[in-house]
Amino acid sequence: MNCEQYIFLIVEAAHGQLMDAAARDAAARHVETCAACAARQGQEQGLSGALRTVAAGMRDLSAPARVEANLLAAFRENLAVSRSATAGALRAKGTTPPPVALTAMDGMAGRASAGRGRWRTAAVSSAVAASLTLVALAMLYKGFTQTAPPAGQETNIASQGNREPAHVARTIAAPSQPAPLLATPTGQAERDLPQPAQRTDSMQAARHAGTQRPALTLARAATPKMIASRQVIDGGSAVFAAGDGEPEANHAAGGAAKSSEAESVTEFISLVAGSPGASPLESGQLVRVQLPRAALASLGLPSNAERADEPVKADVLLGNDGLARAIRFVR
Amino acid sequence: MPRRFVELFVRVGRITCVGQQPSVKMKASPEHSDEELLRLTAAGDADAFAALYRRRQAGVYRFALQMCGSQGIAEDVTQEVFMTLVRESGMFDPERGTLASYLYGVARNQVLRRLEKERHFVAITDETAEDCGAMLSTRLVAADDPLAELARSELIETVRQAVLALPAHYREVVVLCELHEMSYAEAAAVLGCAVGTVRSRLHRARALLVERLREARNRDAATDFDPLRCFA
Repeated sequence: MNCEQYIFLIVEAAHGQLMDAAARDAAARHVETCAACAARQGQEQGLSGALRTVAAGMRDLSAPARVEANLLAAFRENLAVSRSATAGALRAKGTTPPPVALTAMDGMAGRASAGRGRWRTAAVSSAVAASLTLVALAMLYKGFTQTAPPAGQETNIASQGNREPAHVARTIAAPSQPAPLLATPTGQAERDLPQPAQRTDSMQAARHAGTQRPALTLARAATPKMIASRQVIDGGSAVFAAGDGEPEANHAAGGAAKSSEAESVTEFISLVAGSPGASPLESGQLVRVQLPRAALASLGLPSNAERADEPVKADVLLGNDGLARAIRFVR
Repeated sequence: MPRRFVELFVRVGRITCVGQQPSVKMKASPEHSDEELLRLTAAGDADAFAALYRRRQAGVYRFALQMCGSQGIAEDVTQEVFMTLVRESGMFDPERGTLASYLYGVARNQVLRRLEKERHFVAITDETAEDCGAMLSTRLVAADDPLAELARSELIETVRQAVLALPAHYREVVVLCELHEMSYAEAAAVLGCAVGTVRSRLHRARALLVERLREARNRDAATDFDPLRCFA
């Protein structure tokens, strides 16, 4: 017997493992001749004694009473939850709940059924996640198709001017001076059109930050009423100047005005008179807006100071370049 | 209701017909086996759960305490083990081992998880170990022979620290086989490994313990008080 075999035997003997007589005799002969194994035997016996002492000293240890209290409270809570869940499920099936509540795993149904339950839960979760993803993709696609018009329609828009999608609501900064009023093309058509050179910094800031509330608000198509009030003007005859007569645009806008019998409108007031960069208007849009009553005074029109806080309606004529060319007030 | 159906319900944990068959209704008692108590627990019997807890909590708590050396962690682990039993009672398979082995196995997983989590932190003061050592010393020191008991408590504390310093896979076999006096087969069932693995790990762990204890004794001898210096 060598030292390794001897150490193995004494450890096994310390754990009550059976040893045959031949092995025991061989171990006894080995320890008489090997001082190292004799010393190791003493160490092993000392270690076994120390470990037994430690085990005996900790034998009476147990978890504090608060652990049991916590567990019992949690058990009752879990029981109440599973009972209500089971009752709800059975009510949904139209059956009577049993007098004793069942746990989620229905007792000791075995590891296999638990595994099946987990797989079933995972499968249902995956199906729900996939459904939600499909719904989200469908909503995104729907929003995209509403925002971006078809190619044919886009061409039509480009030819007609910067018609915007119906749902676009717009806010622009009020100019420090009455004219020219600026309007900015936005939406999908904006990318296809040249940017107006007259776009101001305040307008950009209001557009990007969205925190500045301008005095002039163009709520294009924010409501169906505003959509109805927007008119598209096409053709070379719609060139406006102060004092011009009723152009075709006025006929178009008049159509809208006719629909509301109570409205009366002023003449169009040019907002680009004297502006050297203004190009002749070939086509544009007529947009119904609401302005603060102070806009009347800024254009040299009389205004009722007692109704200063009431807005006034106006039709703004926008060119293809986004510039407000003319305005008329509506009462 | 035919008795066969009643037995079937009882077997799968559905005690729906106990009102009609009083003889089938079981009440938690010390005579019940672990499996019966677990079945009653799964059926919503709080008394059975309490009985099962009182029967098995000490071993689980001691195992966690001996593995991590912290009373707080041992309490948490004990609580989590029995909550796992409540939540996932179906996970226990009687054919794979006893409920005690299952609980030890859950506790072992919890302890290893906690140790892995705690590994990233460094204790500012070793209060938990000191508290545990003081608790053990108080428990073990007797008034008859204070010096002998002091030496004994020091020895126990030294051994306990040496066990805590072992790598986890050696520590768990020492705790199970030496401190909980489990057989190799029982420890193998808890650890989910072969009996031979338990045996070899235990041999290696004991060798490490002997080595560490010898180092500790040599360290103590080197720092022992030398009376000759007093006369100089």
